[in-house]
Amino acid sequence: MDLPLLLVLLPLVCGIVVASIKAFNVRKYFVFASSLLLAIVSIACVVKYAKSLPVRISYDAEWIQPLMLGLELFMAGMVAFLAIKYKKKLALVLAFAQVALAIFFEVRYGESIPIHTDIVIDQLTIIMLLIVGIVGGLIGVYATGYMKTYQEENPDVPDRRRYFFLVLFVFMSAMFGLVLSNNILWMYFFWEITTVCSFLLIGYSRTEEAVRNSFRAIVMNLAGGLAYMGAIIVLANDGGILEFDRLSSVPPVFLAIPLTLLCVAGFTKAAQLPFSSWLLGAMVAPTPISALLHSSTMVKAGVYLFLRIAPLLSSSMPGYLTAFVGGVTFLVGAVLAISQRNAKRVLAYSTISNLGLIVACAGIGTYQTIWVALFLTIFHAVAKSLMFLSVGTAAAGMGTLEIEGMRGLIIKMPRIALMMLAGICGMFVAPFGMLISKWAAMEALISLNNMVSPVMIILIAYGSAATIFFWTKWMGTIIRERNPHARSGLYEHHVSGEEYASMFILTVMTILTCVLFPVISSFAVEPYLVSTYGHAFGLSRSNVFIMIIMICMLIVIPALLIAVPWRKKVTMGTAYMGGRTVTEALHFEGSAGADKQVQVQNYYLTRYFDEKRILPVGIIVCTILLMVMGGISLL
Amino acid sequence: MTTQLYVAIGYVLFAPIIGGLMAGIDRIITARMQGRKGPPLLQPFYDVFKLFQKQNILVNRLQLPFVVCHVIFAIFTGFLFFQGSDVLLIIFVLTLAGVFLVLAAYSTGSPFSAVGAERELLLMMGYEPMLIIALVGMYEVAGSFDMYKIMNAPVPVVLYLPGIYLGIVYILAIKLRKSPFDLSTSHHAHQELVKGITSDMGGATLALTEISHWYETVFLYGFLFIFFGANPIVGAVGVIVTFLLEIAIDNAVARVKWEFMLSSAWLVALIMGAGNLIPLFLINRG
Repeated sequence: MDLPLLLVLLPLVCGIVVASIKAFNVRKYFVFASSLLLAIVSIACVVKYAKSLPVRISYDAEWIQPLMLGLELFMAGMVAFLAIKYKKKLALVLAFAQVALAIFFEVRYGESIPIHTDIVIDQLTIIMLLIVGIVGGLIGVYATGYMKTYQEENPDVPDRRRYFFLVLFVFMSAMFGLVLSNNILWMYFFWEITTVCSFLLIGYSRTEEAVRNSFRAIVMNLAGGLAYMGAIIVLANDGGILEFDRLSSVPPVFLAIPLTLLCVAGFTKAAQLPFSSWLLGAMVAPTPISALLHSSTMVKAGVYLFLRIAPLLSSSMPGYLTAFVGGVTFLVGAVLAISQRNAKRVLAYSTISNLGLIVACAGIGTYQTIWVALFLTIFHAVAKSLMFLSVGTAAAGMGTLEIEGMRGLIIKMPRIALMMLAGICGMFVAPFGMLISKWAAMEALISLNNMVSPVMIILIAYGSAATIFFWTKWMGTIIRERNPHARSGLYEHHVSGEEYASMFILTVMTILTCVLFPVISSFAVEPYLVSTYGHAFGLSRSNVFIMIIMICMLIVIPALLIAVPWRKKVTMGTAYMGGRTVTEALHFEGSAGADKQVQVQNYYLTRYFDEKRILPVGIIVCTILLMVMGGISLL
Repeated sequence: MTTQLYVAIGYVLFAPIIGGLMAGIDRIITARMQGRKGPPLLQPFYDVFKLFQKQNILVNRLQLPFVVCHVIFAIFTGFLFFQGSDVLLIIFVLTLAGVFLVLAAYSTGSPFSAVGAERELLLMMGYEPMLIIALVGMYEVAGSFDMYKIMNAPVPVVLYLPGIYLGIVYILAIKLRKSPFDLSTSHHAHQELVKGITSDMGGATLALTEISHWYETVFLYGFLFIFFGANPIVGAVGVIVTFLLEIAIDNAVARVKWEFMLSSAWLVALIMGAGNLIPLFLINRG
């Protein structure tokens, strides 16, 4: 059985089947079955090929290339149609430019460039396949439950759930195709599909804001696609090689321009500064879509491209500049997350920041930093999807997306709150994944012999300080409750089983990836580094040991302490209120006998970490870096 | 290896005694600077014993578990440090300990604790960059993150890291809850925000935070000690001078606003920290 082909085609079949079913209750089970099937096939792919990596497959079929071109034309037509419908000139122009370039390429170079291997499956592919297959599937399962509530609560949004699931599965198919492709043209094809899918999903609700933001997303990503196409044409013209695994045999002189163009494409998709705004705009979409864009698809496509070309970026000028763009994005994203009140925007900036770190590591491109980048990708996919899903459910229950609105979640929705806390821990607490990676990034940077590393370390040092602030603040809000004796779980009844199931699995995965990271490292990441760089990199055994002790401490000690019935041994009092008499739930007698309740809000430091002031600075800095990159590659 | 383990176990057993004594000395010197006689040397211990005897009133179920976790991770930080583990990793454990204390305060819902918690977070955000830069600087000089290797570097690392050392002294005032940075809580009675982060803690809970503060004090001065290399006399002199300096600053300056704390700590990290680190990289690798 041709598993790679199956991986690409199966989600399409699933999507069409799911979309063709009208009855919600039946469709639901088909979504479960499809998600399970996709997870199984991606795991099967791993099992089948694990022993013989890297696997190279090529397809001789002559119909593939024309089919891809045809579908590209179709997509461009679709975008053009919507662009005309909503009067968006720029999107129209870009869609046409892309088609023109694609046709030009086909006519000029079409058959003349031999392709040896279309698909390469190595450890990097395997990791990405698992992320897309498992995390993507779980988001699909979650969406069945969530979208039902969403449609009930937003009666003016037309019910297009069948379309939603169709696009979702097409998206997964494109991601599978993208990570499998060694043929640069193929990857371009799938790259464009992810662009269009994200465009369609962001505009799901068809409100004015959704339409506007979806067009912003497609304009930026089409521009990235243009850069990608430019890279293809230059490569075809100068090097005559259009395969990732053979790019290293292209003389470096000819590589500078295509690499820079590919980096620009990667920056757009991975929402790096100056292109980060589309990801913020994408927050208008229903939560499962955000989860999908942030964790297993879309932005990970950009990251994947960087990881693929990382060996070529290593100690090159485009590589260093990429690292700086990533580093600046890391810092700016982290700092801006402090000033955000909307939970999804906090998550968006945190994603941008984390992706910045991954891009920075890929830009430096040595085996140590690639180790870090791969782990960041894994941990981020799992923990961020968990965060989005739990925020979606919590927001539906509490009726607001504001962080302040999640006050006392631990009492109102205890199970959701616990999973959300696990997700937050996964994002920044030692020794969970993201922190391990951040720490390993610093260790890797220190050991490098170049002048980029001290600057990167300083950027990371400031960025992680900001990270602590906004995550801890969020954790504190969840556990802050005016009335600890209130009945527990009052807001949790409507939460569907699908939502629980997918979040629970992701919670377990967040913890397991952390406990098992030495295993992941030795089975997948280190072999990849050995095959690509000839070096292995891992953390020292004593440090791994400490981390595993810590994670056990972190789970066991609080659980034990909370489970112990302290209340019987100690007296419970009310919080200190400046000596005022306080009644139930921190009500106190204000002046003239008015009954008041305490209102406590968090610091957002908007005067200092103002989006309007800091974001432009980041955009300008990164635009300059991009221009320098372009200038150097042309020289 | 085994001696290091004994040192670490010694830290777990005796750090509260040393830390408590240091607090006692601090209080006497402070009193003398203010023209008072001051309490007996062992007063901090009397205070803590008294606190343990008091009724422990809690505000909710999470408060005490979080404080206990704070203490455990604070002890673990020092244990790892004196056992010779990776210092960079240890800083993250220290942060984790801090996070637990902040969460304990957040959980109460009281406005005083909440402001204390937010300010504590601001303080953490303030000192974190300088700490990381300092560790990287130490690695650059000594080639290792093991405190014993840093201590036994051919020359005391402070000679290569004068700026970073001063930066650390600056943020030490934050970490030790000294004026002008005692924003979240302090040992002085003139807090306008009651007791900040510890407002809603009493009895044994408060005693635990005091003990963990002693542990942290010993760890922090231990960290300062390794700047001066393997010679214990030089190290001791360095630590004592810094200790006296911190007390003098504590008494000589008024509390600042958090804006000043954060911006100055970040600026210090940039000027003293990065300004020291980047030339060091340039010289070593250029």
